[in-house]
Amino acid sequence: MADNLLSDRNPFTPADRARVSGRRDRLGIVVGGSLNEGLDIKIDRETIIEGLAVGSYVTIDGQTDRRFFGLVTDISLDSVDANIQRMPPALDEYIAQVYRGTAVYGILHVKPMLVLEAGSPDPRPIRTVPTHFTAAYRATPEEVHEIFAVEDQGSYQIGQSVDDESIKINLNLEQFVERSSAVFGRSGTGKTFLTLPLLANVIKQKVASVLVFDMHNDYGYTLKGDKSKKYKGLKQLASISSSVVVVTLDEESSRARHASYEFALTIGYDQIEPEDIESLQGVLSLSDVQVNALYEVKRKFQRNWIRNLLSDENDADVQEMLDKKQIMSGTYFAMQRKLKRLLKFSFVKEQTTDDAVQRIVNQLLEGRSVVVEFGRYGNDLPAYVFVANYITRRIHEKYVAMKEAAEGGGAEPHQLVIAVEEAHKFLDPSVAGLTIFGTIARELRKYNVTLLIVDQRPSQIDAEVMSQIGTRITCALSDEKDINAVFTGMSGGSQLRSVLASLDSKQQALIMGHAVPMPVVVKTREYGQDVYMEFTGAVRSSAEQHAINQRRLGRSDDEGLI
Amino acid sequence: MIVGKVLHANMRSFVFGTRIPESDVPTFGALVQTHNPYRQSTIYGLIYDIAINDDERGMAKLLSVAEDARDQDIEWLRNQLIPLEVSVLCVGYRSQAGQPIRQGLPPQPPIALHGIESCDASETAVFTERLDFFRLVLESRDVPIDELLAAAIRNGIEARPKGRQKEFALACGRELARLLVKDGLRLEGLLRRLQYTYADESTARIVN
Repeated sequence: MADNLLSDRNPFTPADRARVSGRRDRLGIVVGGSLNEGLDIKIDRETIIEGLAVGSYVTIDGQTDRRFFGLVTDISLDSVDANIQRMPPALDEYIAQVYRGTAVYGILHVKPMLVLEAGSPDPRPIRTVPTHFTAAYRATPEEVHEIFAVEDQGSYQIGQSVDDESIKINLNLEQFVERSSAVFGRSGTGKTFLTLPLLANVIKQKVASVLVFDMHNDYGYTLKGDKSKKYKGLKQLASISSSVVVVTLDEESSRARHASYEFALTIGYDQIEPEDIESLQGVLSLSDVQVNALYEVKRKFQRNWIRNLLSDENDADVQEMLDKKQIMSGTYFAMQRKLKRLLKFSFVKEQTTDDAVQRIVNQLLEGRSVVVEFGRYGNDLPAYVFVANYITRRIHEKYVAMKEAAEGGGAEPHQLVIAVEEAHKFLDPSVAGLTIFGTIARELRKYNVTLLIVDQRPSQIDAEVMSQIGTRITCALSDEKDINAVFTGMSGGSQLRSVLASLDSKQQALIMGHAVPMPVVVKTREYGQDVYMEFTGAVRSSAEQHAINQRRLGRSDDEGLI
Repeated sequence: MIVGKVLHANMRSFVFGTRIPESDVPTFGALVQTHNPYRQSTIYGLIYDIAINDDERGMAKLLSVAEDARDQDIEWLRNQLIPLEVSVLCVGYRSQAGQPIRQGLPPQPPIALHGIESCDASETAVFTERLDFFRLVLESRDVPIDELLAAAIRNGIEARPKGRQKEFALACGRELARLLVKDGLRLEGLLRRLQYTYADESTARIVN
């Protein structure tokens, strides 16, 4: 019944609009609002309110040739007289029809975003509002296409409009990597399935090199989906395979998973700096006194400071240091006890001749991308935080040096995006000032290094860091604090709360910021065969064609790759 | 057909006397018109009261209490030339033939003893194409406003073909809602008077 009503009375529902492209579907008239708080549009009585949705687009005809383009941020029911809500009339069909649109009515809250000038191809940011009683229309596919589907160098189709799946939504990758970005979403919303093809396109289009700290071994060789389904990791995407280097921390795990890797990462005791340990202050519960003591030990023992610190046998120099109260013995042994957790990591060696970081940097500078797989250490937070900080700090130092050299005429370092999962562990307000990730997020693009934060708890990320994030891709979040945090540092962002709160739990995301002309809700592309095709060229392998045929015939997939 | 003549008038209303068969007397809420041949103008009004007066000698009073009043005496009284007095609220005018109807007070009141005609269905439908006269009725005094409006709207509904009745009823309801939005109880009461007065072809519910 409702479906019939929707179709008969208001044929231009989202689904129908795709079929009647170009028709303008009037929704109502502007009755109030402001540039900052958004516009209020009184919905025409003929408009079926159920056919509207937050996240949809609206165009408003200006008094001149301008069209204002906005996003529906909320839909509310209102009445002329508050008594109607307290004492509704005894309704029959006639009375209800009389009241709707007169005494009671719907209001669309629309955040105006862009202005489309007649004769100008590019939408411009909005600086004014349309006047009272100007008519608002549902944006046509052509209008949405005009704004979001501009395909130029460095664009990536991240998904389709939720209103109309025929409209492609493109992300400007160059702007995406120019500043730090973020992918947020609660567990199971498809963050990794969204991030992996996004990074693959960054690599494919040579917009930047990518360094991925692959906590759960998803990005390198195989991405694990629901029901043990396996998808291709970056290394398996043919056209970028040679540009991706997989580094493992856990050779045993890589072998067990049959995941090929370029080399195993090892860290020698003498390569560790106190700053690397300082970044573990939170996860190892190191006190400030203990952190200061690290520097004292380093000053005393230089390259052997970790070896001495972790040694069970106190040599004379240590005893002297304790006797002279340079470090209190309680502090020293507590520090020793905590740092011994590092010893259990097989990738931390007493002796190594390999400079893994330099190898990674070389790969990055040559334009390749690196995935650091953590193997079983992905579940060990100290290991993850330690390695990510260890590598990133050194890469950042090298990039800073190169950038400064570039100012003197040297080569400019290639743009680098560092993708980091569970980012709140590095960017928590208490540690963001200590970790290199906080520094990178704040420094923005100064040194050609930016972050891609992948996290499910944006509320735990330092507000200053959040305010520096250029592009935010947010899947469904359920915690109020997380939803609020996503809009930290965004002017007028709070109006989009209801848009975010209404996202489906899978394959939908709200994208806002630097890489899109205005906030947009997308149905993200399904990662699988169609995406693989873009990385394999036009020719499918026989195995892939076989898998497609199997699906078309309705047969179940093999357990292997699809 | 002339149904009566103007007895007295002012800008807002007039009273006409009639002595026609009971079946031809216009009813409460009906639209009537009076032409001014000198100005070629027409004044429209809604009947809001019909009074039956006694003759000067008070015969009706006497007969009403007489214990042995004969039928021929009652019939004699009824055949006397005592007019019904019909009160009309001015709601619109046409300043010249061919000009559009304006819903508002006429520039001049009707002239005494000018003829009054009932408006037929087509004239009623034309007059009620606009609903600005609702405000005049709502602002009038000494008039049963809500009943008059409901009756006038019902007449407007009946003046239309069945296929257009619901549309008109809804338009009237919405205009009332606009005017009475701050008085929800009164609005609801008025709308209740209009329920089931139109043929709803979409649900095949024939009413009235």
